[in-house]
Amino acid sequence: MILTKEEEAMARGQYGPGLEKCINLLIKFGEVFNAEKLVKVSSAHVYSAFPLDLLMELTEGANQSGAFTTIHPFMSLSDPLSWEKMGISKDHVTPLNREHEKKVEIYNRLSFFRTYTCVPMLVGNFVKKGDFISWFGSCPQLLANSIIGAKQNRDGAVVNMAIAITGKAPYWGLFLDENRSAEILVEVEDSDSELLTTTDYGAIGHYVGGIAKDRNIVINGLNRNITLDEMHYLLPPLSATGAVSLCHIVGVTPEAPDLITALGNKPPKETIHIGKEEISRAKEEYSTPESEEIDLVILGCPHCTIQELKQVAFLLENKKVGTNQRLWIGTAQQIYNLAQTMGYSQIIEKAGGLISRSCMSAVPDCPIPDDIRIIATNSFKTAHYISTFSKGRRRVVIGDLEDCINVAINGKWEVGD
Amino acid sequence: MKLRGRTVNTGNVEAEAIVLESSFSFTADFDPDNGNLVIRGHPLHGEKIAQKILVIPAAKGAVNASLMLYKAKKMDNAPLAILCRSVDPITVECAMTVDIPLMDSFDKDPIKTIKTGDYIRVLGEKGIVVVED
Repeated sequence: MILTKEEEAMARGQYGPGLEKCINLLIKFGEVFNAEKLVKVSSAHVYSAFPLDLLMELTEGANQSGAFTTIHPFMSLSDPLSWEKMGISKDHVTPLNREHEKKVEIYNRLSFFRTYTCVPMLVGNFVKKGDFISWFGSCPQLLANSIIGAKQNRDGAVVNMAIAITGKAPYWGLFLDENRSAEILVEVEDSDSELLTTTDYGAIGHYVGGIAKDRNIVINGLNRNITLDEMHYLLPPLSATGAVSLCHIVGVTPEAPDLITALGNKPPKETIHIGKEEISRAKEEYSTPESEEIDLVILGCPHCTIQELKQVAFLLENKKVGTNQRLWIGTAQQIYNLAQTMGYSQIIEKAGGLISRSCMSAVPDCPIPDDIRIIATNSFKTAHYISTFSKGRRRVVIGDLEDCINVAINGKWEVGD
Repeated sequence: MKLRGRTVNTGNVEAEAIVLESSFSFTADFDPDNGNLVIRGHPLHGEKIAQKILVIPAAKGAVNASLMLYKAKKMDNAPLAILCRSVDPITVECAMTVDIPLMDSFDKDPIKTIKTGDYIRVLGEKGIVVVED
């Protein structure tokens, strides 16, 4: 690998043991995948549940991050501001919070911005088309690659952390234009794309991810006015049922002005047809009889936008979450602050809803209260993870945001199809 | 019997092999607290991976797989080496994080030549795996 003088000095330990370890890991990793050089990244986003001792090792002697860096949501519902109200056991949270306090010192020393969210682009981590970046989390990775056209690989937690600390990344994989074309074509058929709901979009992502695996895809036939909120439900399931890192949408995403360009002037290796039948089949995976009572409603995977919090507040105004129900909503601190300014969070909290900076998909990775058996959500990614991780002990039902709020108020599933 | 391959992360170790025919995930198929394989319905479900040489076609895996392995390694519950048909980025990161030998691109298919229970020696420096008779 060809290295600059600065990179060579870093690799020899002239910038301290942490940077030495990080850059040598990146060099070795890059060589396995034939990277010819390292490139400078403009932005990073790192994992919050990184082990403290490993973080200390990798940051030893470092006093600033190598690139603008933000932090992922709290895992295991350990957000210091909300765990207690969620009924999470103290025994579970105390060791995590103790580690967290020590990590905060490192975050502050390196200027890792403590955003605690999976939507870094909505809280100031703004990247451009063509930028080299490294964001932790399959969902932020997919969103930045696809919607913005910033270039990033599906970096694992340690490679990602090493990139954030050094500001350098191996030049390989999706950094190269020739690897960014779609191999799989998804044709959305017999559905009026103007009428698709966010749940329908989620169902498309859920269905397609299982077939596409880790290949790049292009979706044709969607409404060109698709909103950011709708893309937030379409894309993340692709990296839950599959491991898709890049999804072009014809006429919408920056690298897909037309189908031929998105496919890199080649015929697709496989075409997936999706219509009403596939969409309803995906939704039926997560349905429940109307008579059953829902114990918990989860919104915020990905973390809710201000528009969604506005809608939740509108639906909850002068209403109360049912006495046997819970409503948990994930969002960024910064979006929460805006919701407070607008008066939305006060309405939601007065109605009994709870807002957290935790990851809302990893819920069963910690001891949540035993009486929570049936969970409703508007996110296919949440539905997939909760049903997979809880191994059948908890059931998940899916519906639109409005259905979810109604069930939080009434306890029973009355809306939906 | 000998297999020749590419050494991705070097080191020399010897131990019993555990061979899986389908792709493997350190986040979904492995319990770092006891080092066991956790794939319900799989004939090797509950078998130890800890302190053995893991032979897999490839890994499928979440982006925090390396941290699961890091946790396991601290309790001596990690495998001693990983051999696979062809490496993927997550497995490379896993092996580098805990610094265990990782090899791929063998002259013979490791999944077909090595059997669970075989005693094998991984000679990373030489790019050789020896299966004891």
